[in-house]
Amino acid sequence: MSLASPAAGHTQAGGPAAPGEQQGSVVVPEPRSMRSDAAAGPAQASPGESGAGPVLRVDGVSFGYPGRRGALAAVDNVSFTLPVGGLGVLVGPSGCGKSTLLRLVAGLLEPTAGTIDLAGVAPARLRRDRRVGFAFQDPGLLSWRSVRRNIELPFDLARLPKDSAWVDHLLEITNLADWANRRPRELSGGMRQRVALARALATRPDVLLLDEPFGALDEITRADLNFELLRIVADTGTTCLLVTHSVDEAVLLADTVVVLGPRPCRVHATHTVDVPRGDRRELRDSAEFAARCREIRSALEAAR
Amino acid sequence: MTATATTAAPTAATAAPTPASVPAPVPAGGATTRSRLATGAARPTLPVRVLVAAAAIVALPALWAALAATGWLGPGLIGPADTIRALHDQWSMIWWNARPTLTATVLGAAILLGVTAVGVIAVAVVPALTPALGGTSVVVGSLPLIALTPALALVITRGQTLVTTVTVLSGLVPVAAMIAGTAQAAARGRDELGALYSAGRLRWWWHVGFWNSVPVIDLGLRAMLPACFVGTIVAEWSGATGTRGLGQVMVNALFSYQPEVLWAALLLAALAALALFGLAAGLMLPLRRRTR
Repeated sequence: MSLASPAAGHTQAGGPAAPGEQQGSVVVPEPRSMRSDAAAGPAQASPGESGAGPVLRVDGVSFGYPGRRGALAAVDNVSFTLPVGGLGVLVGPSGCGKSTLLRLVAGLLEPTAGTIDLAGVAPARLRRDRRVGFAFQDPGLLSWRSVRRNIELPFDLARLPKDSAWVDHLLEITNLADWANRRPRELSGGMRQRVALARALATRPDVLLLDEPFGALDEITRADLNFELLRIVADTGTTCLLVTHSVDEAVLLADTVVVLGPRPCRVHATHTVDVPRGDRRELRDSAEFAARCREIRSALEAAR
Repeated sequence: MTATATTAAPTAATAAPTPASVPAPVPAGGATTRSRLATGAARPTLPVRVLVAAAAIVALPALWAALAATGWLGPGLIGPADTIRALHDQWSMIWWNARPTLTATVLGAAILLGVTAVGVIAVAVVPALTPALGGTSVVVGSLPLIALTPALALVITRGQTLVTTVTVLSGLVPVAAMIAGTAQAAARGRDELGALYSAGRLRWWWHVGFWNSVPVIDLGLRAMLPACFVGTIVAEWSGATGTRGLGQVMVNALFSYQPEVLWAALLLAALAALALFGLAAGLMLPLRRRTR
C-alpha cells in the first residue's frame, strides 16, 4: 500500500483545515504552541529550514541519577535544536542516556543543569498542559481496553473531555479504524505500536517523543511504520523526537540526526537530512542514503 | 525526488492496512476465530480442561479408596463410601455443628473482604503503607494460631467472637500479602504514563491500577477464603468455641474413637473449603475475563 497522505483525507477532524503549512498536498495542522504564541515566530517556516522560527531547544542540559555513591551522570552538557514541526532522531550506543534525555524533554525528569524549551515553554509546563505525547519502548497497552479506549486513556488520566472526532481521525491515520473495538491481544506487534503512537497523539501534543517505538519489530514492519510515522507527523504537525539504535531508521526519518556518545551522553555530531519527507521512500534506495548512513555510522564509531 | 511524489497516491490506499504490519483481512468474525486459535495453541480447549479437572477430582477419592481398601494404614482410615454413609447417617448432628463453623468463616471472610477493599485503595493512594503491611503479614504469619487461640480466650470470651477473630487472623496473611502485591501491580506504569498526564494516584488506580491488580486480587482471594475456613476449624480444635463446631466434632470423634464421624466431618470441611475456593474464583471470573 502507499503510505502517502491524501490531500483531503487527513485534515484535522472536527472543523475546517487548520491554517498551517502545506507540504506537498499534506495539510499540516498548526501546532498548538504556535497557535498560542502566534507572534513568537513565522508559522510558515518549514521544519527543515527553521532559520529564526520557533524551536525545541536543548541547551547545556545535564542530568545525573542520585545514588549512594553520588549522582550517576547520565546526560552531560547536551545541546541541540530542532525546528518546531521537525523530526529529530537521537542515535547512540545502548545505555548512553538517550531515554533519559527523552524523559528530560518530556518533563518527567528535571535537568540538574541547562534548560529545555519548546518555543519558549518549559517541559514541565508543556506536560502539565498535556502538550507532550510519549510512546514508550513497550507499548504498554491495557488489555482490558479496546483499541479505541486505549487511545482515549490520556483523556481519562488527564481529566480531559473525550475528543471523539480526533480519536476517529487518529484511528484513521494509523489505519486502525477497522480494529477500534478489538482488544490489544488481537493485534500484531506493529498494530500495537500504532495504537501506542495514536495514544501519544491523543491530546494533540506539540511535541511527540518516541522511545525506540519500533525496536522490537521485524525489518519490514518497521520500515512500513517508519513511513507511516513520517506521514502521521506531517499530518499532525507535531514536533517529534525519536530515539533509535538503527542508523537506517535515523536517516530515513530525521530532519536532524543527533549522534550521541557513550554514557554520560554528550552530543558527538549532528547531521541534517535535507530531503523532503515525501521523498524518503526514494531516498532509501539511493546511493545518497547509503552515504548518509555511512557518515552517521562513522560518527557513532568515532564517538565510542 | 519531489514533494509531488506523495500526491500521486490514491486516497483509498491510505486507508488500507499495511500488509506487513496488519494481519490479512478476514471475513467478519474471522479475526476472533483466529485469535481464539492462536490463544488455544498455548492453552488447552475447554473440554480438555474440564476433563483434566474431572480426572484430578476423581483421582484423589480413588487413591483414598484404594489406600483404605489395602488396610495398610489400619482401621482408622475409613474409605470414601463409608465416610459418605456416615455423613448421611450423622447429617443432622454434623450439620448442626457445621453451621457455626460456616457462619464464622463467612463472617471472617466478609470482614477480610472489607479489609481487602479498604487496603487495596489505601496502598494505592499511600504506597508508604505497603512496607507496614508486609511487616504485619510476616508477624501474623509467624504466630502459631493453635497456640494463640487459648491465649486469646483469656481476653475474648470463648464462642463465636473468638472463633471469628482467629478466622480473621488466619486469613490476614494472604490478605496482607495480596494488598502489598496490589500496591506494586497498581503502580506499574504510573511513573511514565501516569506522570505524563499528571494523573493523581486515585485516578490512576481507577483507570489502570485496579485492573493491573486483578490477577493479584484473584490469587489472594483464592488463598484467603480456604485459609479462613482452616482458621475457623483450628480455633474450634483448640477450644475457642463452647460446644459446637466442626472442629469440635473432629476432636470429640477422635477422643471417643468414632473414625467414621471424624472422616465425615473432614469430608464436609473439604467440600466447604472447595466451595469457598469456587466462590472466590466465580466472583473474580468476570474481572479475570476482562483483563485477560
